[in-house]
Amino acid sequence: MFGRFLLKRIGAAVLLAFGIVVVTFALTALLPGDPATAQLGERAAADPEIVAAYMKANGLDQPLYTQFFIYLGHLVQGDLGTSLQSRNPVLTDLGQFGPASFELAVTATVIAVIVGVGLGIVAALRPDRPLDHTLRVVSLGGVSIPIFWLSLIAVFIFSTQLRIFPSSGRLNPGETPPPHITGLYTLDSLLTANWATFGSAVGHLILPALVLAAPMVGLLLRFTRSSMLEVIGNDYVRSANAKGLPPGLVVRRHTLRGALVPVITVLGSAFASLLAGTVLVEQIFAWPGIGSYAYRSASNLDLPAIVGVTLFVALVFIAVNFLVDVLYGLIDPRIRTS
Amino acid sequence: MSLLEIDDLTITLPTTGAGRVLVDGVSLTVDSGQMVGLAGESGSGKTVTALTALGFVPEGATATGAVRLDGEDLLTMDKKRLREVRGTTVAMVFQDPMTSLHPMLSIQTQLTEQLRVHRNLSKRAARARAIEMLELVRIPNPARALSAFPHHFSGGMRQRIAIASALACDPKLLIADEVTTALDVTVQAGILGLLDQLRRELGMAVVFITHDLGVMNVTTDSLYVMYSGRVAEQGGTREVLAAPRHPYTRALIDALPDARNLGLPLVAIPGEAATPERRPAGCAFHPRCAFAEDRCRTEVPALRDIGGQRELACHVDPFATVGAVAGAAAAASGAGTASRAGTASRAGAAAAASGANVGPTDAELYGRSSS
Repeated sequence: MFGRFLLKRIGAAVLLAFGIVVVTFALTALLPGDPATAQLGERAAADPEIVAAYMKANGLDQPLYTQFFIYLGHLVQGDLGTSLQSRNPVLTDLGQFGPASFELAVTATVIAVIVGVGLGIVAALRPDRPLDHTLRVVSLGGVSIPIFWLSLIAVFIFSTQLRIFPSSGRLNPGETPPPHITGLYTLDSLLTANWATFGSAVGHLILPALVLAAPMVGLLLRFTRSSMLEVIGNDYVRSANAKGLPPGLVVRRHTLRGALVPVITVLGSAFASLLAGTVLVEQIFAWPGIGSYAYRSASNLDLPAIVGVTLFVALVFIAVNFLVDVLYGLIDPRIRTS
Repeated sequence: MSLLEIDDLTITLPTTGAGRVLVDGVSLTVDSGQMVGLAGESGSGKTVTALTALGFVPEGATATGAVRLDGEDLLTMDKKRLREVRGTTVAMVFQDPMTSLHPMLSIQTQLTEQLRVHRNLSKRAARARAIEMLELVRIPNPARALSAFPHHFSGGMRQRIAIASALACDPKLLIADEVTTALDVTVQAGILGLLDQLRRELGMAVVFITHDLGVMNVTTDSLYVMYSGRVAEQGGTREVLAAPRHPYTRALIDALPDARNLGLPLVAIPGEAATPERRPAGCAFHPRCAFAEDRCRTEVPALRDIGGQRELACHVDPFATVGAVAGAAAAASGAGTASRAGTASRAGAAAAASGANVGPTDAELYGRSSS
């Protein structure tokens, strides 16, 4: 039963991925900017011969659908083209910057889930008490404070004033990164028992991760609270209490489980806004990740890189939503069978 | 000592002003192995009263009086002991099995968790006990049912599972709150029969809450009729239903639909049911009562002994001479009764025919063979 459910979800994810490939390709084709002009510079672009040669070399003289199939063929082989900017294959660039962003996003999400869901439960267990009111303000703040402002304030307080956390990069200048195993500095330094590097990597990670987690915390707190409150009034929670189960077990097994589905839904979409947030946060904290790469590519009209980043982010998003769907199925047996 | 003794229970919700009285001086006893019915419309306080037997008092409300279960007062009990009592000494089955079972937890989890907590059973022992419970409530293929989820079962089956879950730790008292209301009529009888049989087999007492007096007569030994937080009338179920003394009980019986009166309009009780927010002074039923006198409007009638182990809270007592008046009184009570001879008048006629002793006719009417 669960196998069929998974198969269906995978099928949907693959279809979606193909759709995104089509859309991203179409968007770049329709983009008003001219890559030839952007790349060749004004003088060379003025010469039609050079432009024609450039177009031919990059397959840009072919009809659109041919371009698409060429592109698709390359894509299947993992060839995302060469970044016009870095002159590296886009896949290599993504492989270099991806792990940094992944590390940041996952840390932020873990913080957000623990803090947001945890505080949401606390708020729901004692509704309309002072703590609940305080948490409501916290939640509102997390959702509504712009992330760039929060970043600057965090840097000002924790780096400039208190000097607890560094404000830029993944490691201190001059520090050698740990040997590349996963690309995640924290994990790699841990795996190689490189404690000093691990400490530095964690220290660098904390501020941007916290800032990135803030809106997600606000969202998760609010949804967990309201969803918990709804479930607490349910008959099945009353049944659990009538059985004389300890309160911790009632909350964990009965209330939270019932409340989790809407929370996970929000988590999926909150992850999308987190991906958008990384572009800003990575800029501010000089974090060498996909966000920074995307920003540079966009400002230089580096089409292959832009498409590569778009595809990468879209695939990550599809993967996250796939995970969310699977989680649904694991939590709620009714979703599995229908 | 009775198993459950509710003594002068009053439950008040504080509001600005006088406060709302949900339950007003209710006393009730349940002996071991006895099945006691609590009847009344919604808002009569029957469920609130019964829930105190599990130590549940509505959020924010204050309860005075005593609720002694096996000699221990649940109202003053500490939380830890209360949790021990719940599930082991007293258990509950709720109205709607669609919502009272957790939709996302397997039947096994829902049947074994209380055994693991209260009885400290191993996973295997708890599972074996759960299978035993499912067999007891006649779920086919219990081992398979354990790995299923509530949505795999029909309403009646779910209610059986809920009963199995309530009985897992051998409670001495079961609170059954409108357990047949959410089910199809055809399924109701099965659940009622099951409950009746289980309490005989297990020697367990049951408090059976319903608004449907027809259901009540099938199974309960004694009956409390509640109105607006007070007991209106109380006595042996057969006696009360055959010859109701309170105008409210009479009206409830008249309001029962009956297949033999197809096409005739049902007799609704005139007026609106009293709610805790708007409870009339004096006897709360007086605005809807055809027999109300002046003092009914000002003076709350006390519950008094009327013989035959029955109690009544009515100043007027219009049905005091049971047999002779029953039929005519039924016709006179409420609006439009004349157009339809209800269950009560049949019961009344039966009572009139056979004198005070309501024998075989009654059994035939309600399908109950022995007391």
